Amino acid sequence: MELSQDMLRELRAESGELIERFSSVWILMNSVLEKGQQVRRSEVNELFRILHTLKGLAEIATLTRVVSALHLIEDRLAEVRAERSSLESADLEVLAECQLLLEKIFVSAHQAPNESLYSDLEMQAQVFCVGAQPVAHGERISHSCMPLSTSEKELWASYTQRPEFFYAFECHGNFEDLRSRIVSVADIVIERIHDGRALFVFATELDQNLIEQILDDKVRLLQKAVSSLRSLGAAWSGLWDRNPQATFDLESAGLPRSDNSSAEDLLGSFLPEGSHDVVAQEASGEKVFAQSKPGQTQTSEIGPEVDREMIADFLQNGDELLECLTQSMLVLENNPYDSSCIEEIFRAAHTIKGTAGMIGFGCVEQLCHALENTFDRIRKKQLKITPALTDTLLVGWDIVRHLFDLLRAGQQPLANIDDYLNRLSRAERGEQVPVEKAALLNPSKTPATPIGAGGNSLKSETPKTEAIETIRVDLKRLDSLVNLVGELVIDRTRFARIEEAMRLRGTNAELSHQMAESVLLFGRHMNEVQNIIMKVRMVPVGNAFYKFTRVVRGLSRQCGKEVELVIEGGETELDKTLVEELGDPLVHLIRNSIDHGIEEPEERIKVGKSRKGSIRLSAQQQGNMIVICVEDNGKGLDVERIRAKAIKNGLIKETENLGRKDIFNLIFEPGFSTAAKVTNISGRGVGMDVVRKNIQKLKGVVDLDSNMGEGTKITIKLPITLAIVPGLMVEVAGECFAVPLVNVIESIGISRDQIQQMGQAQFVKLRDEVIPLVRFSDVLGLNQIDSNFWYKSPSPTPTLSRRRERLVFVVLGIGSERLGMVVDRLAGQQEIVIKPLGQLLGHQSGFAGGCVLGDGRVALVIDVADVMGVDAIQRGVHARRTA
Amino acid sequence: MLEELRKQLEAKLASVAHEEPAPVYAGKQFLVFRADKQEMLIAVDDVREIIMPPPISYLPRATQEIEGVIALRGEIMPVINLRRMLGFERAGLTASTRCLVSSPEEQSFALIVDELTEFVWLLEDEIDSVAQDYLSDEFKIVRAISKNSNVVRPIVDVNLLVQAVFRREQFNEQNAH
Repeated sequence: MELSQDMLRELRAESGELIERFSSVWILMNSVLEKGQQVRRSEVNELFRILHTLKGLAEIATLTRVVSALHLIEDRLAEVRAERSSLESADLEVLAECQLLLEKIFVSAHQAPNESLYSDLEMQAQVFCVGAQPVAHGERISHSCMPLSTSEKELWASYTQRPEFFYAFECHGNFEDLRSRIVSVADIVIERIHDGRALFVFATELDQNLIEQILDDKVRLLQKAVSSLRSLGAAWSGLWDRNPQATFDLESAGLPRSDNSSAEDLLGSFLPEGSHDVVAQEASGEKVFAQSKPGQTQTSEIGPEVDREMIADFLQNGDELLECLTQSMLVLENNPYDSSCIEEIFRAAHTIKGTAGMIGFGCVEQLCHALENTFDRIRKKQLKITPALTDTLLVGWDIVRHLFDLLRAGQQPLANIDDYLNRLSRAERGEQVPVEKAALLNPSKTPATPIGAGGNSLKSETPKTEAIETIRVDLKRLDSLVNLVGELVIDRTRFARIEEAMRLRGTNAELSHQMAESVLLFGRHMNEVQNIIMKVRMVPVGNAFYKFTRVVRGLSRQCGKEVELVIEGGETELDKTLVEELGDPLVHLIRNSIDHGIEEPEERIKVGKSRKGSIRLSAQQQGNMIVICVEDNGKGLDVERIRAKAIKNGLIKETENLGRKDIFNLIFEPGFSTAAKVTNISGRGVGMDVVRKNIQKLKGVVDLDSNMGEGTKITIKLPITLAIVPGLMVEVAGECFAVPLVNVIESIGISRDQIQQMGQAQFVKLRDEVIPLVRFSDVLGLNQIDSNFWYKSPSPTPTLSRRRERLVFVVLGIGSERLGMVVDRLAGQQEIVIKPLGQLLGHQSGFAGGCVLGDGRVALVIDVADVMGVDAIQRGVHARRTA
Repeated sequence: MLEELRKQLEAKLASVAHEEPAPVYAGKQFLVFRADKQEMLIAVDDVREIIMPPPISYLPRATQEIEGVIALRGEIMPVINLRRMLGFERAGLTASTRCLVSSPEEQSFALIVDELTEFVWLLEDEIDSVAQDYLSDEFKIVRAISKNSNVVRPIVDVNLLVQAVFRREQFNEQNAH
């Protein structure tokens, strides 16, 4: 089935989220194991859920091999859940591999399938499944191949009644090719890869000669009895020898419920068309689930381990699916041949069934199974859609909805659905069935007990389940929203100005008063909106940081070093796109640290350091910047060597005299990074120059410092995307500038005689403090304005005469540093949106950016840190001259 | 009903076929503008919009070609003073002064011009490329000249302009040999 672009996008988004969650759970599990404890059940459950949903997605994308691989992993996890097996760190290694493979597979889902990825995943899944150490039997089976899974047993059983032959085929290589040949003429029942050999047991109606011709090799004919597997030899003994009591009796199998629903999936993908129902029918003679007996209402209670979150998740997903389903049903009513609707409904039913089954909502599961079957037949054109059928189907979905409601109210989702199921079969057969919704829903016989009354799930006092509501939003829309909020801030200022003008000009008092009130309210609401919007796009950087622990683990092992990753300030929030863009550069920096920075354990001990090196990844907010540091306590950088290398590469000349920092900055030059410096860059083309370029793209700066023998520290500074800050508007030389209020200590009128001179420098004594004084025009470089500014527009306020008695003195400060400026006049306080000056201008010293005023003009925003630094240097110059 | 529809459609198609084809101009379209006394051309494709000169904010310590910055619908961009860049006489705003806004590679800037003269279509043979060595430094923003009127007029290349004004180092390197 072809997937539309939209579906593919959805698929990628959803699988992406799931794979990330996979990562988080993995990290949790890992940390627990490292402390020497057992992996917690809640985490196993979570992982199971994640993989199960991924499996569903894989099925939608028709990645059948991924489905079967995930199923194997689920099998093992089910064993762990049932405490028949436990997870070790080796298992986590395998899971980590699987996560990476899954990531690659889903990312490239829209391209041609990459069979090698699938084989890798299958192999890993099999290894994972084998790792199962049966706690009860106390025997290791890791030497022989994996035993038969329940689904394989079922599949085998299904073929026993059929005319096809069973063949067993072993091969040593060329697995992919042979597999595809087999698949083209037969159904694979069992496949194993073990010890470099592959075994395929498949069923087909073709005779042995033909098969041998196709495969170019000998095959062995097997009897239908499972015992014939013995003839395969000791290598495959795992298939039949694991559990001597293994039977193929479905009903007495005593399988955990979840296995059945997943077995269903697997069957669906393996069996030839049309036999799906056959299996179910054969097992129990009725069109119901394999395990349950006909006509039986599910009465099992939901176990205590099913927690609120799971149910909330289920309900949320279920609701979404039902919503979508209903829409499709309505379309279907008018256009019964719309195949895309049918597909959608089928898939939705299937998903609800799967998740319901996994959690244990048998009733929902059964119902959905029946509905799913019906839709399957419809989509295979085995069933015609009549109005009666549609009505009946709609009733079916109503029942599902009712069951959801029961669940939401904290009760068991149980109902006697046999009546309905009978009606459904009759409707399918084309009989006219009266539509009477009320009669169908017999209230469940069991008392409405709150779910998990004895466990750590829904509290009995709060019957309403609070679903954790989220919604996925297109980032572009969010961007527009954020920009518009910035514009609104400007509009609000305009209103305020108009209101002020009205007041001063003595407009109608009543009107003026109303205006003032409205402006105030508007302002208050705007503030709230601003705060919320700013937070909307922000995600904690920790999310990205925690992913790096895996990277560090893998790399440190690879390089034979011992490194630990220390994360600080993970809760610092940063815009989502920034966090994503930072990922690659940070990984590169961490890799550098591990590869070249941290020394090997023995060497570290020799120089008196601890055996384990550490890399500290920290994030914190400083003013309107976010500062991220990657610091290691490795061997640091050798300035001389870098200098020598730079000279060799022609970056600098022998004669050039560069300071330490400048030499370090050379590392960022394109000519410097050597090829193949780090292993496994996997063609991303990342070098230090690319790191810097990426950071610059985010309008940030990156800096490097190092001490030989002590370590290296890389500092990345990024501006917070939309900085809305309160600012003080000042006028200098007829031009308007904005100073971030956070850096304004005070503004005060002083008289000329308060200015004291000391050599070249001027000071003002303010109360107890002595504050250096500079002229704004000097610091900012406004002196050339008359010759360089041809198109000066007449300023809205009259220019003042130069000589005045009282000067406006603004005291700026950062930390404990103080600097005083004289400006022409103050033009009020307002909220300003600091915008960059444009990529073409880049960084202009002294200015953090520009802000758009109410009248459309730009007021440059002073970068107080720059200004104070510049001034300090200048004063330093003066000091030296006077010394 | 379907027949009716088909007949109507055919009639319509027939009538359209008899209409005059839309006039097609050969070549590329250029905007002719004046900076002081010099008329220059710029490709229409390179000009995003033409606006009345907005109030410009002075940018201290910027290079001498840059007059200042403006905000256009919330976007802040630099303004280039072409007269000063080309070494012409100083002048101020006149009634005909306009700003051309261009965004090569999504990086916007504005250009102050004294007057918009006309739009022309030029064919290939009316455009001659110019060897950069012949030009004095300021004029290196010109890639070609047009020969359609009696006077030879330079054609400004927006990319060269951006490089010259904002990426002086790269620009100088390239033109060093």
